[in-house]
Amino acid sequence: MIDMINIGMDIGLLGVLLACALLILRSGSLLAIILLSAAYSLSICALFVILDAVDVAFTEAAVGAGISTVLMLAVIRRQDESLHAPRWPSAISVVTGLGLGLLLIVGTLDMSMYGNPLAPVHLHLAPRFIGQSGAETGIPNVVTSVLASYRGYDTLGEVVVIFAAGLSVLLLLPSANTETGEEHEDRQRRAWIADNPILKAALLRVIPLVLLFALYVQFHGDYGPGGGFQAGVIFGAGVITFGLLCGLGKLLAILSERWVSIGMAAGVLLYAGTGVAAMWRGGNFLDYSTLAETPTAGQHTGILLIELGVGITVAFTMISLFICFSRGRD
Amino acid sequence: MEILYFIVLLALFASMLCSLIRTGLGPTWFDRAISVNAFTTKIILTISVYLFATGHPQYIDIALLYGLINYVGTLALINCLNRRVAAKTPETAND
Amino acid sequence: MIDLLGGTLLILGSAVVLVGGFGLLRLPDCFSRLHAAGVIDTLGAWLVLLGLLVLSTSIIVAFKVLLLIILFYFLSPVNSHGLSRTALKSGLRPFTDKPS
Repeated sequence: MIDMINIGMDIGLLGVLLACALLILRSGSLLAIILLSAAYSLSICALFVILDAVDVAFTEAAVGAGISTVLMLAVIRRQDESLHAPRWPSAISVVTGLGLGLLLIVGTLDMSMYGNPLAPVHLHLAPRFIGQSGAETGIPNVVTSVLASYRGYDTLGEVVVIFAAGLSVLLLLPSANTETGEEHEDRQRRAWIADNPILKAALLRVIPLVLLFALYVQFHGDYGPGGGFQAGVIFGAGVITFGLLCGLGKLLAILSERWVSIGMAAGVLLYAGTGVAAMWRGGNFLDYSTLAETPTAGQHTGILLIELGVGITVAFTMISLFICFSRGRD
Repeated sequence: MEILYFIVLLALFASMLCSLIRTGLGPTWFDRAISVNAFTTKIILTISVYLFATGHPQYIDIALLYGLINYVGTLALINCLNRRVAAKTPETAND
Repeated sequence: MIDLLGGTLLILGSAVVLVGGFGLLRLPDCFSRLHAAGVIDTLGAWLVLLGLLVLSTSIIVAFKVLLLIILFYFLSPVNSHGLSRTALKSGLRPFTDKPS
């Protein structure tokens, strides 16, 4: 019966995904496409749950439910909503798309078959990670220890990519803010959301819960699904809610852009600094075993610190993106 | 007990498909917004029921996360449309 | 006994959710569809989650399901309210049989 539930869920969710994609293809309004892609991301999150990839599902839930819709809506606010795309795509885009797809398919030919028990990853990496990561790092969640310790270099690269993305948005959308703070306040007052007591009363009370949940995800990541990336996005979503409810002016009065930039850099610095501290104490870069008396305790400390660095960078990057996209002209 | 979970999941999927069709059909932005909201509700329920059915209810954190932050997207939509209404005449705000 | 109660709540909830889905598809205009999407769905989600609360085996899971129920109780109506006020303000009008 469990098998039947699994197969049914697979077929159902893949069908829903296909339906979403087809509806997006034939939809003419950008707003509809944004809402449909929110539905798409929801169903792919459920699919990750079925595949037992709970950490990935967590990330998809945090990003898809909160941030991506907010950012895409902020983008279409800057331009006309209707889609002026031609009915048929141009030859160049067809050739590029098909060629790229073909290249990707050719790339997958080198991978071993899905589910093949003799694939190299199941012979060498998986037994080590599953069998010994608990003893080596003292952390029950294998995903966290692989992400933060065994593949710490990769994760450092990912954090730097997120930092660079935030930085490039800051550079591309400079603070050429033509309206003053007062004008902004005035426009906020005209927009009705600022004086809707029901939305404000209900949602302002949820923000502390969201921030608390972010901290839970951050520090519970060693034991259950979660970690720095997810926690950062959830924290950012909480702060963005405040910005949407009370206006950008109030948000900037609490958290100035200068501090947001400092926070973005501080997380990356904390991550790299942990690596340097490991070198300082006689180990390799990002080898946390030297950070405390016993190697296991050192690993635990190091993973906690770098997850915190990831969380800080992701949270402040999200806030910075929101500020960049939502200020300026309408 | 499992056959019951199966029936519940089947009903949730049927309902999910209805919301999805309404999201695609529209015709106004309001239809799409409320049907995506309904879709979110059903995905949360599906994930929760599935986790209970397969015996991993400790991962219900995911459903809780959706419950906590799915309103952010709705709020952004409300904000976006309100600004548009404040900037233009009411009729142009329709999809 | 507990299984029976939880199962009944689950079946009731999924029936209500199914009705909500059909309503979303069949009702004639957007404000009447709001009943299916906002009111009925909140009740359905409530019943399903209550069933899961009854069926949950550990305290921490029960607490999380309870938190989810409370969140649905508050946030789902607030969402519907915010969206419908915006719709009224943006010029959508409810469908009536009187000529406007």
